[in-house]
Amino acid sequence: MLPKLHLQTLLTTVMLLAPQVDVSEEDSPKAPTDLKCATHDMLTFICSWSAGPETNLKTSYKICYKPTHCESVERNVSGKINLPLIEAAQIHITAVNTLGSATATFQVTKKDITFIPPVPQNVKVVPDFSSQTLSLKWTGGISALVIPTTIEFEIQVLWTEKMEVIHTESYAAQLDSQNKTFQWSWISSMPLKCTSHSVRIRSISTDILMSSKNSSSDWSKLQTIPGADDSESVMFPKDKVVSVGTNMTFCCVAGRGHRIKTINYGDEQLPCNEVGNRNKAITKYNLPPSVSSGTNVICKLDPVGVAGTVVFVGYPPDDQQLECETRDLQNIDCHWSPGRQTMLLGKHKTFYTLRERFTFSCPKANDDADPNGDKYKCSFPVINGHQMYEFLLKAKNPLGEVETSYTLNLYTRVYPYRPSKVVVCYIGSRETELSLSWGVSYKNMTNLCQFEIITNNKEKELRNFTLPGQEANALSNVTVKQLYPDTSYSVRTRCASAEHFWKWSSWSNSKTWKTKEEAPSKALDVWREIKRTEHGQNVFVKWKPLPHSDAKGTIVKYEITWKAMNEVGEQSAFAPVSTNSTELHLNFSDYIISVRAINLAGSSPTSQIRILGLLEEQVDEPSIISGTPSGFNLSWSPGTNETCGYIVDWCLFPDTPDCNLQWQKVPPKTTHTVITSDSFRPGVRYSISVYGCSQHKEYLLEKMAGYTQELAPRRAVKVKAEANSSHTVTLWWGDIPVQDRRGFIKGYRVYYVPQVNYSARSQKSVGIKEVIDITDPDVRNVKVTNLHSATYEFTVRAYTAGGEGIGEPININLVDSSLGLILAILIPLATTCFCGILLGICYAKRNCVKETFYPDIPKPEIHGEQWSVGEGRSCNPTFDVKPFMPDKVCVIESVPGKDAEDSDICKVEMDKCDSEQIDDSCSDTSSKPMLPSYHPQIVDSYKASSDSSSGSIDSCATQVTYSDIQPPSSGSVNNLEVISDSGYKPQMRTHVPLLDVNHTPNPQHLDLPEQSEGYLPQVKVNNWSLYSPEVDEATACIGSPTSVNSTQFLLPDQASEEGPSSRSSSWKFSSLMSSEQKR
Amino acid sequence: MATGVRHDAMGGNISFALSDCYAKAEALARKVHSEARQIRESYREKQGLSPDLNLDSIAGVPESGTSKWGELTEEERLTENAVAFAAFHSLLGEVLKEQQDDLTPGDYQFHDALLSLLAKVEALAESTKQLLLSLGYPLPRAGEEREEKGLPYFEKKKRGYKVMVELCGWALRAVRGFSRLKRRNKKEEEGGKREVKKRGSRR
Repeated sequence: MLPKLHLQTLLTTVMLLAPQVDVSEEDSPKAPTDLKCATHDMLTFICSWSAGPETNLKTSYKICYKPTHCESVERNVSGKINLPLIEAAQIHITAVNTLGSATATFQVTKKDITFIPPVPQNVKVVPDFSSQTLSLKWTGGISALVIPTTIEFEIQVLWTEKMEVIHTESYAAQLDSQNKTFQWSWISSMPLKCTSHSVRIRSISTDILMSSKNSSSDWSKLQTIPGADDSESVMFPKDKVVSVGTNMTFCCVAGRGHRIKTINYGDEQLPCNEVGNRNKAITKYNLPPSVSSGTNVICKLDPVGVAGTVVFVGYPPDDQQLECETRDLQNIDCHWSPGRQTMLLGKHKTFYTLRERFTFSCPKANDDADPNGDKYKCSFPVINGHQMYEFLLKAKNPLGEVETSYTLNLYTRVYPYRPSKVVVCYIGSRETELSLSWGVSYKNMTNLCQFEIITNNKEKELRNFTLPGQEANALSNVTVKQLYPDTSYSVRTRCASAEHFWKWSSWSNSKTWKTKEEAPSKALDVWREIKRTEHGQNVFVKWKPLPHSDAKGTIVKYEITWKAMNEVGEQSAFAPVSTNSTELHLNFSDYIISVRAINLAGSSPTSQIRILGLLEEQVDEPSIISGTPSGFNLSWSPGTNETCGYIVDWCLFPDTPDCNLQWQKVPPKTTHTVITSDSFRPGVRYSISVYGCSQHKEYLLEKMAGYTQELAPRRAVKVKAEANSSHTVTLWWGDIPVQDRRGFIKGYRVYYVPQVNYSARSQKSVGIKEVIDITDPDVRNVKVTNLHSATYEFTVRAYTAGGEGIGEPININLVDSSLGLILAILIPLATTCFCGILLGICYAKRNCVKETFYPDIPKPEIHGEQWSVGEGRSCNPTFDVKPFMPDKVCVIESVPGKDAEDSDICKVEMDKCDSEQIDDSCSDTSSKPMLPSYHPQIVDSYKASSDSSSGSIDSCATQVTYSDIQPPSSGSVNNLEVISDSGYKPQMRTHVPLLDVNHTPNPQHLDLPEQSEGYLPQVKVNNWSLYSPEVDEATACIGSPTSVNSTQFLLPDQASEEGPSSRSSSWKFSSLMSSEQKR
Repeated sequence: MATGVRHDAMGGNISFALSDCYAKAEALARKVHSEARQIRESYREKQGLSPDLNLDSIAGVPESGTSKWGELTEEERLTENAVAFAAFHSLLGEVLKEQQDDLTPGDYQFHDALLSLLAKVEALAESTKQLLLSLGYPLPRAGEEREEKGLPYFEKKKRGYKVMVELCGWALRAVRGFSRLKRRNKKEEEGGKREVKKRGSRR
C-alpha cells in the first residue's frame, strides 16, 4: 500500500532533466525523457520518466545508476534506488523491446530531487474529558533519515458530524534518523463529550535545502473521539470549578426523542450555537462568582424534560499573611488570614497544611476560621533549646495553590500577656512605687513596660521602664517619680520585649492613688485697699488663692497678722479658706500686715504689705488711655524711688459697690504691662492706678482711665434755648453723667432745621439741616445766628470715638413782628362773617333760588269725572282709571341703562310681595303703553274682580305717567292687558287664567304650543296682540313684550304718598319743592 | 401488644390503644407535611432551581400520586407508608449530607431544619411499623441500600428536590390514610361494643 502511495505522489512531482538520448533504430523504443526523482528519506529515491509514444510492443527498462548497479523494471517508474546525494550521479535508463533499445543518460544532482515528507504514522488521540484536552501522539513515518531536516506538522481538529474544522495548528519539528514520537495537546473550549471530535495530521517539508518549494504529505487517517450517545439528554461539562472572569462554553446533548428548547445560565437565557443536529452550546463570558451551591446551567427540552449541570465559580487561594509569635515562650501561635473569599465551599474549599520544617505539621489547619478574629490559627509547642523555626503554609483549592513561609526566632516574636497584677506599694508626695507580676514566666527576657500616667483625670503622660525577666507570679517593682503632691494619678501599663520589640501587650487594669500633701511653696499675692476715715483707716487686705501647683495640698485657712510699726506686739486672725480678703480697722500708724496660707502639711511663706498711715495719696487727674477689646496696654513713667517693682490695680466692675479690685505686680525696672480680662466690657470706663514700690512701701504713682472700646453716649444732651432775636438763638446744655458717656466726649454737634406747622401736633422739616461741630468737649453753649423768621428745631448731640449719641430736639419760633400774628387772627374772622351774610341773603331769596334751580314739574291733566282716587281703596290706580281708556298709547323703546335702573326699582317693589302673589299679580298683568317723558312703564290693569287680588296689586303698584289718555273707543276694556314694550319677562305662561276667551278674535292662538314649557320670552306675543285693540300700532311701538316685573312706574297718588319708601329720591325732592311751593 | 387482639375481652382497651397510635401517627404526618412544605421551598431557592422543574426522570424516590389509593386495604395502606417513609428517611439523610458537604456547607440553620425533618420522618416510619406490628401484619422487607455515589451535582439537587416534593405529598397522603384508618377502627370498636351488649342481654 505504501509504495503505491509513494508512486502516486511521485508522479505529481515534476522535475525536468536534460537527457542525452541514444536512438538505435526506427521502431525501436524511444529513449526515456523527463526523469523525475523524489525521496521520503533522503536515502532511497523513486524516479519516473516519460516513455515516449506507446507501441504495441512490451517495453522494459534497465536503470543503471551506478556503474555496477543496474536493475530492470517493466514500467516507467523505478523502484527504490540508492543514490549518493553528496555528489551528482548519472542515471542511465535503457528502454528495451523486441525491436531494439534506446538509452538515455540523466545527470541528477541533489537539487533535482524532491523531498516529500511521509505521512505521520502511529497517530493516536487520547482525550481527557475533565480537562477537555485532546492529546495527540505520532511518529514521523521515517525509520531513518540520512540528513536531518526541518519539517512542519499540520494538525486539524474537526467536529466529525459536520466535518467542520474547528482548530488548525502547526507543529514544527526536526526529522532525523531516529523515528521519534511527537506529542501535542489541545484544550477545547467545547466539552469533548458534546460532539464527536476528529483529529488528522500531515507533514509539510519546510527545509529549503532539500526542496525549492514546500511539499506536503497526505493527511493521516481521522482519529475520532466519540461524543455522548443519544440514550439520554445531558449537559456538559459536569461540575466544573473555574475561576471568576473566565469564559466558558456549555453544551446540551438532547437524547432520543427530544429537542433542545433553551439553555439558561442561572436565570439568564443565552443564545445557542448549533453544534450538531442534537447538540447546542452556549458561551458565558466573564463568569461571576457563584453561590455556595453553584450556578445551574439548565437545558430545557422539547417536549418535556431538562438536563443540567452545575458550575462553581470562585477564586484561587489568596495570600495568607502567615504570622507566628509566642506569648509565653512555651508555645508558638501561628495565624493566617484566608484573604479574599474564594467563594468555594465544601469539597472545593481551600485546604491548608501548616508544618514546621523540622518538627511537625499542624493537625487542625483546616478547621474553620475563628469566628471572632476571622483567622485561622495553630499552635506548636516550643522545643527546648530550639530557637529558630521555619513554617510553611500551603493553601490549595481546585483553582490553585499558594505557599507562604515564615521564619521565626523565638525571642524576636514575643507578644507578652498583659501584667496580671498591678499593685501600689508606696505613696509619697512626689513618688510612688508599683509592683507588677505575670501569670507566666518571662525569665529569659527583659521587659519594656510603658506606663500611662493620667494626672487628675486630665493630662496623660507615657513613661517607659525596663524590668528584668522574672518567674511567673513574681513581683517586679517600679518607682514612678516626679509626681506632684496632693495629686490624683491613674496608671496602667503594657509591656513588650525590650531587646526585640515585637508587640505591646494589651493594657493592664488601671490603678489610682493620690500623692501626699506638702506645705504651700509660694507666698500669697497680697494687696490692699485703704479707706481712710476720721477715726482711722479701714484696710481691706486681699489675696489671690494659690494655684494647686503652689498650694501642694488643700488650703484649710489663711492667717493674717498685723503689727504697728511703732509697737512690739502683733495681732493675728484666721480667715476661712472660702474667703480671699479681710477688713482691718487700724489707726493712722504705719502697719506691717502679713498673710500666709495653711494646709495640713504646713504653711506658705509669709506675704507682707506695709500701710503708711499718714501718707496722703496725691489724686491727680487721670491720664487717658485707650484699650483694646481684650484689655489695656499700660506704660508709665518710672518712679524715682522704685526699688521693688510696681503694682497696678483696677476695678473690674467700676459701677458696682464692690468693684472687684484686681491687681497685678510688675517686676522692678519694668514700666509697662498688659492687663486683660474676659470681664472687660465696651463702653465702661476703667480707672487704673499704678503704685510704685519703694523699700516695701507702696505709693501711688499714676492714675489712668480708659475704655476697652468706646461707644456712643447713651443719654441725650439736655438743651435749653433762648431766642435772642428773630435771627439769633443761644443754646446751652449740661454734662452727660460719666456712666452714660461710654467714651470720652470729643465734642458736640448742633443740628438745626426750619419747620413748617401743619397742625398743632405735626411739623415737618423743610430746608436743609445745618450742623455746627463743636470740637471742644468743654464748651457748653453756642449761639446760632443768621436764622430766618421761622420755627427751628435744634438738636445737640455729644460724640465720642464710638459714635454720636442721641439728641433731644427743641423748637424755637422766630417771628419778625406782631403784624403777622394780627393778620393770622383777622383773616379767618372776616371770611366767617362773609359766609354768614351770604347765607342770610340766600335764605331770604329762597323762592327765587328754587325757581331758578328747581322749576316745578307740570302736573298731569286728567279729563273725565272718574279720575279721583278714593281714599282707602285699592292701591292700584289703574283700577280707577278704568273708564278712561287711552285712545292712543305709545310705548317708547327703552334705553338699556334706564331699563336696568327701573328694573331694580321694580325689584324692590316686588320684594314686598308674597311670592305666590308675585307670580299671579305681576306676571299676569297686561302691558300698557308708556309716556315718552318717563321711562317705559307698564300699567297692569285688569278687572280685578276679587278683593283678595287687590292687595297684591296694591303692593306691587308702581308709578305710571300717562299722556293724552282718552276714553276708550270700544267697550272691550274690562280685560285690558297692556304689555310693556321693554324689559325682561322671564315668566312663562302655559295658560292665561285671566284671559276672556269670548273676547278673543282668534281663539286658535290660545293653543299654546307644548314647547312653551320653559323659558319663552316671546310666548306672550299672541296674547298681547289679542288684547290690544291697536294691535298693529302697539306692536310697532312696543317691540317685544317683557316681564311686568320690570320697569313699571305708577303716578303718585295718595296711597303712594303713604309709602314713601317706594319712591325714588328725585321724586321726593320734587314733592318737597312742590309742597314748599304750596305753602 | 399481642396480635389477634380484637377477639378477646381486652379488645376495647387495645382498640383504644390503636386509635391512639393512629392519632399520633396522623399528628406526626401532619408535622412532617408542614415542615416538608416549608423546607421544599427553601431547598429549591437555595439550589437555584425553578418551580416548574420537571422531575419525572428521577427514579428511586417513592411517588405519592396513585389512582388506586382508595382501593387499598388497611394492610396495604400501612405497608406502603412504612416502605415509603423508610425510603424517605434514607433519602433525606443523603440530601442532608450533600447539603452539608458540598451544596450549602455553611448554612447551618438549613441543616438543622433538615435534621429536624429527618428525625420526624424516622419517627413516622417507626410509628407506621408499630401499627403494622400491632395489627399483626408482616413488616415490609427493608429496602436495599442504594449505591448512587458519583451523581453530578445537578442530579443531586434535582433528586433532593424530588425527595422534598414527594415527601410532602406522602405526608399528606399519610395524614389522610391514618385518619381513615382511625375512623374505621372507631366504627369497628363501636360495633364490637354493641355486639357485647347484645350478648349480655341474651344472657
